[in-house]
Formats: sequence, C-alpha cells, structure tokens
Amino acid sequence: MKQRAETVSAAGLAVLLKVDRTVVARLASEGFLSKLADGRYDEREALLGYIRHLRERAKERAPSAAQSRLQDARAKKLELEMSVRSGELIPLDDAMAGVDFVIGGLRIAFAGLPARVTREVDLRRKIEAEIDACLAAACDNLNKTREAIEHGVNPLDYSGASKSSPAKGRRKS
Amino acid sequence: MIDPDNQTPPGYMRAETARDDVGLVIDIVREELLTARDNLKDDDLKEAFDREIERAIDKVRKQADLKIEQMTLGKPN
Repeated sequence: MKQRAETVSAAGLAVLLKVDRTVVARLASEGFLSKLADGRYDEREALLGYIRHLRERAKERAPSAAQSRLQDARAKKLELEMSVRSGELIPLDDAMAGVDFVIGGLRIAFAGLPARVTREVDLRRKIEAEIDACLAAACDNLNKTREAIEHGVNPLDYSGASKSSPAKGRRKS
Repeated sequence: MIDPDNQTPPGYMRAETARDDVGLVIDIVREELLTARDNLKDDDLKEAFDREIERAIDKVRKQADLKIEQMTLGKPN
C-alpha cells in the first residue's frame, strides 16, 4: 500500500520550522520549498528543502581560506600596533639608535678620563687604547646582535661578522 | 638581545630586552675597564681610575635610563 504523503500548510510549516510565515514564503520563492497544487507543502520535501537552505547559508557565511588569512594578518597587525603603542615593543632601529646613544655617552664620559687619572702621556695613551678597545668590542657585539635579530637567529647562536674582541695582550703599565 | 620565546615580530624588539641590553653593555664596558685597571701598578692611580670609571658609568646609566624612557613611554605615536 502506497504511503500517503503528509502535507502541511504554510502556517503549519512555519510552526514546524520555528520561523515566520514570511520566511516560508521567501524560501518558496527562492526554490528551497515547493508548493503542491493545493498550495500546501509536502512535509518531508519541505524539511529537506529547509536543510538545503541552511547548508547553503552556512557555506556562504563560512570565511574562505583567503579571508581567514586576511583576518589573521589584520589581527596580527593590530596586535603589533597595540604592542608598539603600549611601549612593549619598539622598532629595532629605534632600539639600536638608543644603544648607539649609550655607547656615544660612554665615549664622551670616558673622553677626559685618562687626563684626569694621570699626567703621564704614555700611560694616558694606554688607558685611551683600553677604553677604545672596550667600546669597539661593545659596538662590534651590538652589530652582531643586530644582524642576528634581523636574520631571526638567536644572537648567541649567530656566527656572523664580528671584528674585534676586548683589548687583548694588555701590558703592565 | 635574546628573545626567550622567540615571538618578537621581525624588525621589532621587546622594550624589556632593549633595557636589559643597555644595562648589559654598560656592565661589560665597566668590567673590562676594571680589568684593565688591575694592570696598573700604582695604587693611587688605581684609585683614581676606579673613581673616574664609576663616575662616568653612573652618568651614562642615568642618560641611558632617560633614553629608554623616551623610547618607550615618552614617544608619541
């Protein structure tokens, strides 16, 4: 015996789907629901049509891979801007300029040191040489560190160009 | 200048790390000069050298603190 199809009115279908009647009318006009000749809806077909509508809507709303990447990039940019604004991060150039400033400050501070320590010219020259060697080594280490950071490498593991080391072969004065 | 979690974006540095590095540079220079001081024979000379080093380092530390402050909090965006 052939099973009789259950049919439902537009109002009944709205109650069944828990939507407004206007939604039923719109889904019908969009082709998700098919009206029978008597203006009613086949209940099973209507449910399948509604499920198809929901799936298509979910698909439309899901962001594409490109959109996700764009959103991630925007989020990262925003996070970076916030970190810079809050002072947590500083541009590497600014940081290096700051350290250069400190090295310059050391050089100025030590400029008159040999003359203040001794009147002996030879000894002054030796002290100057020691100070120069220390500052040169500090600058060299900083350059190396900068290169390492720019290459995304831990400075301790970096084997880039480093020219000098602190004064070697010091002689007794 | 080591970023322990290695999550600092390229071209940027953590202010905390920069602050530590500046302090480290000053400490290294100070230590090196004090080592050089040990090679001096004259005790009076050593004392004078010590005094001058500490005076210079103290001055630079204060300048460095101001500079770091300027680089982070004081910088308008």
